[in-house]
Amino acid sequence: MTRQDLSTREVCWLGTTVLLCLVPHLGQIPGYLAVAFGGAALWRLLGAGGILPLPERRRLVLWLTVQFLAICAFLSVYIAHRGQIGREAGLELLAALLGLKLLEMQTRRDYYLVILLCFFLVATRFFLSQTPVTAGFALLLVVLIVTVLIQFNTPVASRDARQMLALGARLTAQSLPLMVLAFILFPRLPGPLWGLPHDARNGVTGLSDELTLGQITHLGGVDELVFRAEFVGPIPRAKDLYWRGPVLWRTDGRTWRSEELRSSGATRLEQQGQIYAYHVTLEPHNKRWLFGLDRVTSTERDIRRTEDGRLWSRSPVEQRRRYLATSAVNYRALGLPPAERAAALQMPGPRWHPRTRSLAAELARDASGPLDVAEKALAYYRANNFSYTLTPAPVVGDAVDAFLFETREGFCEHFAASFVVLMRAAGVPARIVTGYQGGEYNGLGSFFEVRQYDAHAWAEIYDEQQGWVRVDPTGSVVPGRIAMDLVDARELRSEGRQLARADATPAALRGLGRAFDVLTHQWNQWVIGYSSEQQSLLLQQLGMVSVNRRSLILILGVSLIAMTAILAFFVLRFERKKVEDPVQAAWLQLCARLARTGLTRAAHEPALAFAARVAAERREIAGEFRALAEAYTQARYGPAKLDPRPFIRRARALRVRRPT
Amino acid sequence: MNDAATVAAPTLLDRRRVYIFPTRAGLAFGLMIFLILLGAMNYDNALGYQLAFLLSGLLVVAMLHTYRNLAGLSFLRAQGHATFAGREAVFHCFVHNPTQRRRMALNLSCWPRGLSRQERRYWRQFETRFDLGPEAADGIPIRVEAHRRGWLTLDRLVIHTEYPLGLLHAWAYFDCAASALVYPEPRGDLPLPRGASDRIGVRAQAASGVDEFMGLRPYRAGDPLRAVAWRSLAREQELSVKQFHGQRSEEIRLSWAATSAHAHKERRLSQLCRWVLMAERAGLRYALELPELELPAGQGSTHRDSCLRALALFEAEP
Repeated sequence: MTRQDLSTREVCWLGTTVLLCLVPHLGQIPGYLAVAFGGAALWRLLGAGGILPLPERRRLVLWLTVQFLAICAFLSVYIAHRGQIGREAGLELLAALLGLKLLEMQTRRDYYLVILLCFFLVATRFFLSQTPVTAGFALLLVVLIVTVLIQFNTPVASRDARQMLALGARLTAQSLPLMVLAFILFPRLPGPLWGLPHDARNGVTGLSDELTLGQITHLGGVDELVFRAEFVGPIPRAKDLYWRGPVLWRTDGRTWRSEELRSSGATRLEQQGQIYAYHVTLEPHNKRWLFGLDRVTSTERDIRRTEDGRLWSRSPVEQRRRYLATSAVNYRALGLPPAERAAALQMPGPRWHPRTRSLAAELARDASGPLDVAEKALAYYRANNFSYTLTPAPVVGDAVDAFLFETREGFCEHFAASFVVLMRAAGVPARIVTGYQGGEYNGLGSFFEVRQYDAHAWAEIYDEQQGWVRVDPTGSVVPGRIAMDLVDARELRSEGRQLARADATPAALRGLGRAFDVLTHQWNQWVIGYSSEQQSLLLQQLGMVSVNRRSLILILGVSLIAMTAILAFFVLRFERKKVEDPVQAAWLQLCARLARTGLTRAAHEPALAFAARVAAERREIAGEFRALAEAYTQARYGPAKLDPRPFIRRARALRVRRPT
Repeated sequence: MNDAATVAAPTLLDRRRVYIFPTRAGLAFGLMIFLILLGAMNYDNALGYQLAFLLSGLLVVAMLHTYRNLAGLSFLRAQGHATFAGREAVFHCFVHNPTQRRRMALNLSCWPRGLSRQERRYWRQFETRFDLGPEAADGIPIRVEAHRRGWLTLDRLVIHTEYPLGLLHAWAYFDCAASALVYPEPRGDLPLPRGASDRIGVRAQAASGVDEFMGLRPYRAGDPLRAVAWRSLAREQELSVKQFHGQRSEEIRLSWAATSAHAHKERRLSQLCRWVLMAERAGLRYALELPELELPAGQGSTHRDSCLRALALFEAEP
C-alpha cells in the first residue's frame, strides 16, 4: 500500500457512497453534524476537481484548522452526551470521523479505512431499525461499497461502471448462501456479552406498572406495535380479547403500584370451556412482564406465572421475543389468603377520597354480595352521565373524588381506579388490571396485531363463590366500544382508516396491505426474532435432537466448508473453453490428462512435436500417442472428412500415468 | 521448432502453485467483521449478525475470485535483452492466458531466491502491472536496473494480484532462467586512437555515385542490410552483398594498452566500450585487443556486439 494520490473519479465514487450510507441516519444525527458532513464531502469533491484547496499537510494552516474542527466535533459529541458513549453518541462520532477522514484521505490506506467505516455506518443503522426495508437498503449499500472496492482495484483502462456494478452484485449474491447458513447455525448467546449501554432501548413507549391519575401519558394516539398473537386452532371472540399485563394493588391515593410477586399457591384456577393456544411475538419493551390472553393456563418453562395472573420473564425483554401460551377465557380463580385479602382491601389514609367512601357505604348498605355492590356501582356510572374522553380536564388534589363527583369524564384508567376504590371502600377485595384489549385481526396470517392504542385498564373483584371476577367499568359506560374497539383514538385512527379503505381503496390494495403485514410478521418471527429456541426447533425438525453448542459449531463448520466447495465449483468451473469439434475436444482432454501427470503441451506446440516429447518422456505410451497425434492431424487438417468416433474411442482408452 | 528439446514445458498455475493470503486491508476487514459480530452478539441484533456473516462470506467469495484471476495462466519463458550498465535491462516474460476470461490487474516482478527482506523490497520495485486478454500470450516487459557488467540473471518471477477487492493477495512463482548481458557503461573521454592511416574522412557509405560497382561477394554476418543484393536474392540465388570501389574504411585498433590513462579496470573497459560505439557510429573498421583476447578488425552490428560481449565478460565475476 504505497502512498499515492487518489484520482478524482475514485474520490467521487467513494464520496457518493459515503453520502448514501449516511442517508438512513439523517433522522438520528443532529443537524449541525449532518450539515458539516455534507460540507466535508462537498469540499472533498470540489477539491478533487481542483476547484478548492484541500487540507493537506503541506497547507499547514488549513490542515491544522481541520484537525481543530475534528477535536471540536468529538468534544461536542462528548459534551452533548455528558460523557456517556452509548449507541447514539457512537453513531455521531462515527459520522464525524468519516466526514473528516473523507476530507483528508490521500493514500490507498485512507481509502480502505473510509470503506471500512462505511460498513460500520451500515451496521449501526440496525440498532434502530430492523425492518425489511432497512435490510433491503443495507444490501444495496453493501453492493455499492463492494463496487467501490472493485473499481479501486480495477486498472483505469478497464473501468466500466456497469460491469463493475454487475461484478459487485455477483460477489454479494455469491456470499448470500454462506450468510444464510451461518445465520441459521451460528450459536446464539442467551444474554449480552457485556452490559447494554443506557440508551440501548431508548424511546420505548408502553405500559408501566404504575398508574397515576391526573398525570397520565396516554398511549391512545400511539400506533406502535406491542405484540402479535398467532392462534393455533380456534380464535376467541373479540369481546374476550383481554390481554393481561401488570396488576396493580397498592395505592397511596394518587398512584397505584404493582405488588411484590408472591407464589403462595393459594389461588386455584378452574378452567372451563375452550382452551386457546397461541404464539405471542412481543416487541422489546425493556420490562420483565409479558402479555397473555386473560387467563393463561400454561406457558413456557422459563416464564413465571404469578398468583395474580401475570407472566414474568427472567430478564427484561430487550429483543423481540416469541413464546407459546394457552389460555381459557372462562375460568374461576379461587382462593384469597389473608395477606392477599388485606392487600386487596388496602386504602390510603383517611383524608383521601372522603366522598367516595361515603358513596361506597351507601352502595354497600343493602347489597347482597360483592357482585351486587359492583352492579350498583356500575349503575351509578350509567346514571350520572359519565363520559369517555382521552383528554379529561386536569385535576388537582383527590383525583378519584374529582372524577366521581365533579368532572365525570376520563378514560379507562379513571374508570378502573375509581371503581376499585369504590369497591374497597365498600369492603369488596378489588384490584386494577392493566393490559390491552382487542387487536386487529389479520386474516391472511391469522394473527392479531395489538398496538399501543389498544392499551386498557379494568378491575377485578373477589367473590367467595366466583373467585376473581372481571368488571370493566369503561365498558359499561361506552358499551358499544368495549366489544369491538376500545379507545376513541383507536377508533379515529383505525376505524377511520378502515372505513376509508373500504370506501376508496380497491380490495386488491387492501389485500396488499394485509400481505405486507404478513410479510413483516414472518420477517419478525424468522429473521429478527431468530433465537436459540428457534434454532434448536429448526435443528429438531431436521432430525438433530440433542445438539449442544460444541456440535453446533462443528455442524456450522462442516456446512460452511461444503457450501464454499459448492461455490468454488460454480465460480471456477467456467474455466474450460467450449470446443466445437469432437475430435479436438477429445484431443484436448487427452492433453489435459497428460498435463495432470506433469507433461503439458505448450499452446504453440503442434501435435506431432508434442508426440515427440511424449515419446521421450513417457516411453510406455509413445507408440499409441504418436498414432493418435497423427490421426488427430489427419482429422483436423487432412483433406478427407473422417469419422471422429474411432479417434475419440482410442483417445479415451489411452491410460496415462505419472512417471514413477 | 519441431525439435522437442527446444520446447520447455510451460508452467501452469493450478492450486498447487497459487498461494493466497489477506492483504493488510483484508486483515482490517476481518477485524471489522469481528467487531460487527461482537456488537450483534451483545445486542442480539439479527441484521447485525447477517451483515457480519455476509461480509465474511464476501471474504470467502473474494478469495475464490482472486484465486481465479491467477489460476489457469501459464508461464512460457522469459527472454532478456542486452543493455549497458547503469541502464535498465529489459526481460520479456511471456505469460499465456488460455481461457476466455480477461485477467485484470496482474503484477509481475522478479523474486530471486534466497534474499533478505530488504533485498526483496529492492526487487519489488521492478514491477509491471498488466491485464491479459482472453487467449492472449503477451510478452510482459520487466525492467531491471543493471548495475554491473556481466550476466544479469533472473531465476524466479512472481506473479501476483489483488483483484477484485484488494482484500486478498494471491501469488505464484515462475522459475525461469533468463539472462541479459550487461555491457560496461560507455564512458571515458579519451579520443579514439586513430591509426597510422591518413585516409581520415573516408565515409563508409559514400552516398554519391562516385563509387563504382565492383561485384558481389557472399553475405557475411554483420554486413549492413542496405548493401544486400536483394535483386539477386529474388532470383533465388545465394544471399550476397554488393561491393563498391572506395568503400574502404579506416581501420583502427582499440587496445587495452591505449586506455592506460585510466587506472581502474572498469574505467578502462568503459573507455573501450565507448570507443567501440564511437567507431561503429563513425563507420570505421575496428579491432579490439584485450589481454589474452583479440578480435580482428571488422564492422557492423554483429561485430560491435561481439566486441561489447567480450568487454562485458572480460574477467567478470560469475
